[in-house]
Amino acid sequence: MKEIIKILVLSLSLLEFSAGSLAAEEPDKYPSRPVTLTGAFAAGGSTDLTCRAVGSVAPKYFSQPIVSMPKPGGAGLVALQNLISSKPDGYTYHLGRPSEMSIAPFIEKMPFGMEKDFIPVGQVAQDRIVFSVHAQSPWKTIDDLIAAARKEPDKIKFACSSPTATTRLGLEKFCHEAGIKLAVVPFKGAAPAAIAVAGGHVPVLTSTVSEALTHAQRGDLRVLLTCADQRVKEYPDVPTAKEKGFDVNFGIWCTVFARKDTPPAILSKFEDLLKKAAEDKEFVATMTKLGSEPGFVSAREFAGYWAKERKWIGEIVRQVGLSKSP
Amino acid sequence: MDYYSLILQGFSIVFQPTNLFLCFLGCLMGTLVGVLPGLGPTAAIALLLPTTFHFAPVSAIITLCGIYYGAMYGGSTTSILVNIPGEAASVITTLDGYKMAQDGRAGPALGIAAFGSYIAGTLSIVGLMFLAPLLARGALAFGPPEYFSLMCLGLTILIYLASGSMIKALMMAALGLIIGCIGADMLTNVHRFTLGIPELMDGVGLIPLVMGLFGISEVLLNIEIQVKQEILKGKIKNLLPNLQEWKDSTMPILRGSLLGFLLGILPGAGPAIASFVSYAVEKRVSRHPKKFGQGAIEGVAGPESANNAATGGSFIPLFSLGIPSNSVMAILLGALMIHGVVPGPNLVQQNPDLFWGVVASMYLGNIMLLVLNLPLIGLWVKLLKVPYAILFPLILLFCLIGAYTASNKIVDVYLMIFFGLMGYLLRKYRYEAAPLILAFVLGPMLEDAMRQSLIISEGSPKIFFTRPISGTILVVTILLLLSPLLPKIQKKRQVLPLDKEN
Amino acid sequence: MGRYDWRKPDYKSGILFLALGLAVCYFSWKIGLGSPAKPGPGFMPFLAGLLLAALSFALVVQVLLSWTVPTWKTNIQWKNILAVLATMIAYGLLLEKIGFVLVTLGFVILLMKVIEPQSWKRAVLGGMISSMASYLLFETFLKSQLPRSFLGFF
Repeated sequence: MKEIIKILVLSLSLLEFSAGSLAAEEPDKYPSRPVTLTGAFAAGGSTDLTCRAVGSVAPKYFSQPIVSMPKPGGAGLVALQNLISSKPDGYTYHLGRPSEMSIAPFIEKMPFGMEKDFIPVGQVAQDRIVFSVHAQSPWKTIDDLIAAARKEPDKIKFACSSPTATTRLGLEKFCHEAGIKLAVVPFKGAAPAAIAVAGGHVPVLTSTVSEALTHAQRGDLRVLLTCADQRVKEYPDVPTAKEKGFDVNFGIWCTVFARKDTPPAILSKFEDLLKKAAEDKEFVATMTKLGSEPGFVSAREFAGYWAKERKWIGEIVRQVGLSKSP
Repeated sequence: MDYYSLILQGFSIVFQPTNLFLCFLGCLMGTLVGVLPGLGPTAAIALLLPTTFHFAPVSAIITLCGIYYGAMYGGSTTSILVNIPGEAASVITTLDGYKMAQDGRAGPALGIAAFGSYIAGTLSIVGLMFLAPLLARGALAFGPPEYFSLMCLGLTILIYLASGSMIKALMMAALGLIIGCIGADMLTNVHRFTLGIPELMDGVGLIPLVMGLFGISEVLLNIEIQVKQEILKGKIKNLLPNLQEWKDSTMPILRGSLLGFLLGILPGAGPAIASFVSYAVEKRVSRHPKKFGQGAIEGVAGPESANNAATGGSFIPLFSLGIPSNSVMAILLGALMIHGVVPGPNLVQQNPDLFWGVVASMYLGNIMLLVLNLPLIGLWVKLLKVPYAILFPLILLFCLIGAYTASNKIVDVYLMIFFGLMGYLLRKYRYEAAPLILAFVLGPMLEDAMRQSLIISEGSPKIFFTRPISGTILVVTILLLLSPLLPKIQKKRQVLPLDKEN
Repeated sequence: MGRYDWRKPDYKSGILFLALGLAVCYFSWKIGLGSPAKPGPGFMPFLAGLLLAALSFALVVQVLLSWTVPTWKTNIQWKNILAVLATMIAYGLLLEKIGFVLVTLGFVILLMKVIEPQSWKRAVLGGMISSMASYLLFETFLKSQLPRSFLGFF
C-alpha cells in the first residue's frame, strides 16, 4: 500500500515538472490553444457580455476560440491575481474597466502595480456616463441643478451603484469642474440606485447610458447631461459635457490587458484581432443593443490616456475621502 | 385588453415545435441543475446562458424561464430527501420536509412540494398577466425607508422560526447579523472582519454558507450515527399525499402563493425571503404550531408555494419596468438586451409576441415540470436506499463542485467547509441554523436601508415614521411584536372564572 | 448553583459566544461607530455583537441558576469529522493544481476507504464512475470551467 502511494506521488510530480518546462512558443504558431478573456464582474453583466461578444466574432479573424471567464470578487483582485499568476504566453487576457484598473489601486492594497505588471492591448468599447434627475424634479436642465447645488452645498443627494463606482467618480469630477458639492447615497448595484431615483426617493442619479434607459423611456427619469464629446445616440436631445464647457469626457472603457512581460509579437497579433473585432458589424450591432459604444483604441493611444486618467482619479479619490482602507 | 385572444396567440407561439422543445429542455436542464446542491437558479441560468445566444429572442427567453422554474422545482428535492438545500429558497423546506422523509413520508413531501409549486407558479403567472403594470408602479414607491421597515418586519418573523430555546435562536440571529457584516462597508469601503482575505471583501456568499451550515454539517452528523444504517428507515409508505394531507395543505398553498407573489415583486426580496415568511405565517396561523419542525406538511406546502410564486412575481418589475428584482432577473435583463429587446412599459405593446409567448410558456413549463417531477419521486426514493457509505462521498463531492462552480473561487469552497464544521458543532450544542440564515440575509439589507435613509433625511429618524408606507409597516411590526402577549392575557382571564366555579 | 454546571453544553457555548460577542464589539468600536444620526461602519456590528454578548450572558445565567436547562452528551466524534474535513480541504487545495478529474477520483476513493472501509474494488470503481460522471455533467453539459491538470486534456 505504502509503496503504491510512493510510486504514484513520484510519477505525478515528474509529470508536473516535465509539463512546466515547455519552451516558449513561436509567434508564428500563435494561437494554438483557446484564449481566456477574464472579467472582474459577474456572469451576465456588461463586462461578461462584452467578452462574449468579442468571443462570438473572433472566429472570423482568429483561429482559436476566445472564452469568457468571469472572475468577480475583491474589487478586481481575483481577476488580476489570476492574470498575474498565469503564464505570459498570450493565452490569458483580462477585459478591464476603470473600476479595477484605475480606481481600485487607490482604494485597496494590491500586491502588484498597474504600470509595472500590466500592459493594455487595445480598447474595444466604452459605456458613457449620464446624469439624470427624477421626472418630477424642478431642475429641467443641468444648469438648474448646478445653480441649486451652489446655493446649498453638500445638500442635494445623488444615487450611485457603489461608493467606488466609476459613475460616481465621473460625477465627482464633474462637480469639481462645476464648483459644486453633492452628497452621495450609495446603493448595492446600478438597478437599485436607478429605482431609487425613478421612484423619487433620491433626486439625482449617476449611471451609464443603459442603466438609465428604461426609466428614461418610461418617463420616470430626465437625463440632464452625458459625459461625452458628441451627442449620445440613445439621448439625442441631451447636451454633452463638452457643449456645456466641462472637461468630463470620461467613458467607462472596456480595454483588454495582458501581463506586461508577454512577448510583444504575440501582443500585436492580439491587438490586430481586437481592432478587427471592434470594427466588425456584428460586434457593433451587439454593443449598440447593450447600450455601449463600440470603438477601437490602439494600445499606445490608450496607454497615454490611461496614465493621465489615473492621475486625476487619484486626486478625486483623495478629495472624496476614499483612499486606502486601514 | 382582450386577454383571451392574446393568450391564445401566446400559446400558438409556444406550440411551435422549436419552442415546445426548448421549453421542455429548459425545464429539464433547470431541474437537473437545481437538484444539485448549491447550484440554484442563478448559477443554472448563468451557466446555460451562452447556449441561448443563437436562438431567436422568444425562444431564448422561453428557455431561460424554463431553466429558472426548473431550478426552483429541483432545489426542493434534495432539501426533502437529504436535508441539503439546493439553494437558499429551499432552506426552509428542510425543516419539515426532511423530517417527513425520515418518517417514510418522502413521497407525500415531494408530491406536495411539486403540486404546491405548480399551483403557486400558475397563480402567480395569472397575477403577472393581469396585474403587471399596476403592481410594478407600486414597487417604485418603495425607497430606502420602506425597505428598512420591511426588513424590521422580516426580522420579527424570526420569533416564529424558533422551535427551541428563544434565547439561543436570537443568539443565532445575532451571529447571522455579524457574519452579514463581513466585507467592505457599503458607505466608506472600510473592510470589516475580512481578516486580510481579499475575496472576503465582497462578504460571505450565501451559497457556501447555506451549503456548509446545512449540507456539510448534515453529512458529518450522519456519518457518525451509524454509517451502515440506511437513513430513511422503514418502508416508503405512499408516493403521493393522501386526502388529509391535501386538505391540510390547501390553505398554506394559497397563502404561500399570494405571499410569494407579492414578495417577489419587491426588488431584493425574492424567493428565499418569501419561503421564510410563509413558514412563519403558517406556523402562526396553525392550530398545532408545535408540529412545525416535526414534519408538518404545512411547513412544506406553504414555503414551496411561496418560493415558486415569488419566481412569477419577480418577472413583473422586469417586464413592465425593466427593473431586475434579483440576480436571476438581472441576467435575464442582459439576455433580453442582447436580443435587442428593451424591457419597459412598451414591451407588452411593442413585442406582444414575446410577452404573451413567454407567459404561455410559463404555464406550459409548470405543467411540464409537474409531469417531470412526479415520476422522478419514485426514482429519488430508490436512490436513497443506496448505503450511506457510498452515498455520502458523492453528496460531499457535489457540494464541493457546486460551491466552486457557483463563483469559480476556491475561497468559497474553504468557507463552505468552515461553515460545515460550524454547523456540525452548532447542532451538537443544540442551536438552530435557520434564524442565522434569515438574519444573514436581512441584516445587510436592513443596515444599508437604514444608512441610506439617514443620509436622505440628514440624520433624522423621523423619516421612517412620517412616510406613509414605511410608517404603516413599522406599526404592523410593533403590533406583531406585542401580539404574543395578547393571548396570554386572554388565557389568564379565562382561567380565573373557571377556577372560581370549581 | 449546581456543582458541575460548567460541564453543561449550554454553559460552554454560552461562554464562547459571550467572548465572541465582546470581541466583535471591540473590533467594531475600533473601526468607528459614528453616531446614531450618521452610523459608521462599526455601528451595526457593534449592536449585533452587543446583542450576542447580552444573550449569551443570559444563557449562562440560565445555566447557573438551573432554570430547567437540560444537559446532554455532545458526543463529538472528532476523528471521523476531522478526517472528512481534512479530505475536503485537500480537495480544495489540490483542485486547481492537479485538475478536476484526478482530484475527484482521489477524493472519492479516500472517503470510501476511511470512514467505513469499502473494498478496493468498490472504492476505485466508485471513484472512477463519479469523476467521469461529474466531469460529463459539469464540464461538458454545463460548460462550467473546471480546472485542468497539467496533463492538459483533463
